[in-house]
Amino acid sequence: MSEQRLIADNGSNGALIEVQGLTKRFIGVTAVDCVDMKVYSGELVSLIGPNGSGKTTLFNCITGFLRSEEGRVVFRGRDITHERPDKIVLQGISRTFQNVRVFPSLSVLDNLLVSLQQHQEEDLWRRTFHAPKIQRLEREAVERALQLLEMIGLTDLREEPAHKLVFGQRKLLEFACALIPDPDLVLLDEPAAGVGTAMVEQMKQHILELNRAGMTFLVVEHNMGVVMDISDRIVVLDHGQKIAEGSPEAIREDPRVLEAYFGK
Amino acid sequence: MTALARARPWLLWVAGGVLVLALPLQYSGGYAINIMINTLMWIVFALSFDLSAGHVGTVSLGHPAFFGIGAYLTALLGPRLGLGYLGNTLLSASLMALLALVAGVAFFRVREVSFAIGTLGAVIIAQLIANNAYDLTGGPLCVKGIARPEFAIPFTDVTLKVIHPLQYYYLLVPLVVFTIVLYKAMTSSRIGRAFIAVREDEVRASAVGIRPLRYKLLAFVVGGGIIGALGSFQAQYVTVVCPSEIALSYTLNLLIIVFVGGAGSLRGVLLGSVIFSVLPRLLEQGGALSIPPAYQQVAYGLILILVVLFMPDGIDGQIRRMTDKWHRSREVEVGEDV
Amino acid sequence: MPLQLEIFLEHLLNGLTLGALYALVTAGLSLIFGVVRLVNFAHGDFFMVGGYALFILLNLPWGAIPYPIIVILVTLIVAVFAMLIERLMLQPVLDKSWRIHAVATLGISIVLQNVALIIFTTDPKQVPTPFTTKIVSLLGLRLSVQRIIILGIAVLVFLALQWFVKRTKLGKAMRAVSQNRDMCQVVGIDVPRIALITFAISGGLAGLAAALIAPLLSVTPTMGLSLTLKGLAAVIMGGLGQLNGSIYAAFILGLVESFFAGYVSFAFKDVVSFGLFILVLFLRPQGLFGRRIGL
Ligand SMILES: Nc1ncnc2c1ncn2[C@@H]1O[C@H](COP(=O)(O)OP(=O)(O)O)[C@@H](O)[C@H]1O
Ligand SMILES: [Mg+2]
Repeated sequence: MSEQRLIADNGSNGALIEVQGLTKRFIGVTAVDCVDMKVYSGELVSLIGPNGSGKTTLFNCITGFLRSEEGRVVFRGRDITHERPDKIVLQGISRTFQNVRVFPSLSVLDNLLVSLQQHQEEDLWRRTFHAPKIQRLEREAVERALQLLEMIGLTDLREEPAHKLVFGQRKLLEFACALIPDPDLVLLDEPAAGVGTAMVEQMKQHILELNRAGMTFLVVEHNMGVVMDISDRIVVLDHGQKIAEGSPEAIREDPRVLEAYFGK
Repeated sequence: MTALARARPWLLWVAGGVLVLALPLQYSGGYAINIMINTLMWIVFALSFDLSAGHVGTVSLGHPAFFGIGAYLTALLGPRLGLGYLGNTLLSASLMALLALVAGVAFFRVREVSFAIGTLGAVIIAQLIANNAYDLTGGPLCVKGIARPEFAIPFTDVTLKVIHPLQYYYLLVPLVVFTIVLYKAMTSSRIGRAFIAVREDEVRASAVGIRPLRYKLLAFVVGGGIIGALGSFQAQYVTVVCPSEIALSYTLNLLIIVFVGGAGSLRGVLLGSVIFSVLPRLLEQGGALSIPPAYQQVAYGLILILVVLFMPDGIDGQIRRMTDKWHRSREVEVGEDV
Repeated sequence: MPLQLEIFLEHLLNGLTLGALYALVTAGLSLIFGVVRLVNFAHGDFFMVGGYALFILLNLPWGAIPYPIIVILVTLIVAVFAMLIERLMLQPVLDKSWRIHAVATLGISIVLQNVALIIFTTDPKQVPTPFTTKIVSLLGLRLSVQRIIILGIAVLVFLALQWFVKRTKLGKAMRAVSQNRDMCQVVGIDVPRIALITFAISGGLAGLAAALIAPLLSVTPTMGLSLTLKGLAAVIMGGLGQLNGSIYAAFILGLVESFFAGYVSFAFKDVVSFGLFILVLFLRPQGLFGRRIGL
């Protein structure tokens, strides 16, 4: 206990984010049950587990959308448990949603800009009246948005409202929105679900490239091919509990994991 | 692109401004100018309402409270504090902005339908109190004899007393301009983008660092303050304030103007206000013919239903679709030329 | 019986009658919200339509129909009326946002009120039944037979509603739709039909309320509005879309109003009921009786 606090307090042992004994109960079910986990800077960690094992709920607790009953979340040595979602994202944790969310009537470009603007410090008053500084920030934002659009291949659709995109494109857009503030940690909830093989491959390459460039990822994914390919480390949840953790090779062989998935 | 086309938005605004300033000079009768004042008032009222309802998506059915209480403040406090027109207006505006802040913090805890109906409950309470607190408001007997605005002209001993509708008209114009400029500035900037984000998906908005409450409050407070100022103007214009100034029928009118014109669009709300205020009077042929209010209301109700069924984005949405189509067909023609 | 007690019982009875009125109206609102997620601002006007239907049926030129048959007829008339409104005006917008619903139903409300105004004028119409003036003595308390009928039928209706929603196939389908509309579409429940039936039941409840309780009031074109507002307050107090919670809340409102009007101030009774509503909204936004999804 005292050791834990020490680690958390100075945060100097390298863990970018540390989840300590996190517990979230819904009526009749403990969705996340005393989970401990760490992600180090520059890592690509996958979070896997059968449906309903609490992965999304864990994401929601980390990002402040759900209030956990017990445990703490420490990000860069700072306790962010129970902080508001908008504050947490501004500290450098971006996320996507399992059921893809974009702003349907905003254009593709505006979706990206609105995801960056709160990160560019400025006050409300300035933001109302186009002060020169805002124009500069806006130019920078557009530049960065165009780069990302180029990367995900949606440049031609930048003026279209997001509701006109097909599912896979919306997923890419949401992914780009998570990246635009250049976050320290990106949480992706099933980035490869529901899209075609070509796009799965594209998504995989993007994640790998960004990770190589130093971005830290925590990814929930069901596609085991992708998970085994990209992960440095895998954490396995079942019924809200962490049942295994290790390298892809170790997890592949782990009897507890096999049991959780196939109910041996 | 020709210079004219590039300048068109500016030209439109200038032409509109000239029209607003010059039009009342064409009419000597009070009837026409009353309609124009009415139109301007609905523009201010509806734009303030649309800031919340159309942009941030928080439809409060309690907006008349800001208007009515703003009017009562001028009626009851004005004489006691000895404030002039500007003082009265600023007092109502700031207190109503404060009320909006307090009410917002309280009511934004609940959302959507509960918010709409909660604010509706609040405005009913306000009206009941205005109606029954005889000692304070005189109840249905109204507060009468509110002073008309007076302006001392500097370096002379002349005071200008505002009496004629035409004078009131020009007194109102600055508030209209202020409202339009503020509306435009807020909604076409980064704030406007955040407003839309909050309207479309609050959860997603928080996930990109936007705090929904902040933007909801911003729109609500700005709108409340402007409507408070408008209420103060109303009190000093008609010189009587009755409980009916906190009327639910105002809410209905706002919904008609904003949703028929086009929620979340400056052009739509302006069109809505003008059509709503001028058309029925035109049908009455300058007062010669009177349409019973019940028939007017039936027409409004039917228009509302038809618009919802067949033009869900209002008149503005319809115009936009048509101009889009026109632009596209022109592009094709140009392409063929080359 | 001591006078004090008699007065108390009188207020209690008034409160229960008022509660029955609110509850019948609220139940319909709550059903519609629960099943199709629509807030019907024209719901009180269904009651008003029922009131005028009652007025016409009581004053037919060729002689009176027995009151029980009139009650059934009014119930049916308003049920069919509600179905027509749903099919013609609301069904196309059911999958739109609640803002669109609010504007559409407010439009309907304005039209209904003003058409009634044009046809019937603002004069309040009295709709006495043979039972409004028949007084019986019960425990030393004199009360009209109409009130006994109201309370008796209200209780029966609520029991029937329980049974219907919990036990019948149709009721179960309604609950299923209220809990997960998309899933129902997938498993082949005819959602538009369920929506239509919900409107019929909701309209029927409003019609029944009108046939029973309008005789104690008088019928005016604008009487629906305040009923809609009270009903909506009760719906939210009971927890949006929770049928039973909203019925309890309606009775609470009726009783509070009656006692406050009787003992404190008649003029401010609505201030208290809406104040109570807002208090509940702040303190328990999920409703008085806990959170649950669906009916
Ligand atoms: N908002 C909620 N209310 C009640 N139960 C929930 C809620 N969200 C998730 N659950 C339950 O929590 C458990 C974990 O769900 P989830 O985190 O979505 O799993 P996963 O993402 O691993 O598939 C499931 O049993 C689910 O039914
Ligand atoms: Mg999940």
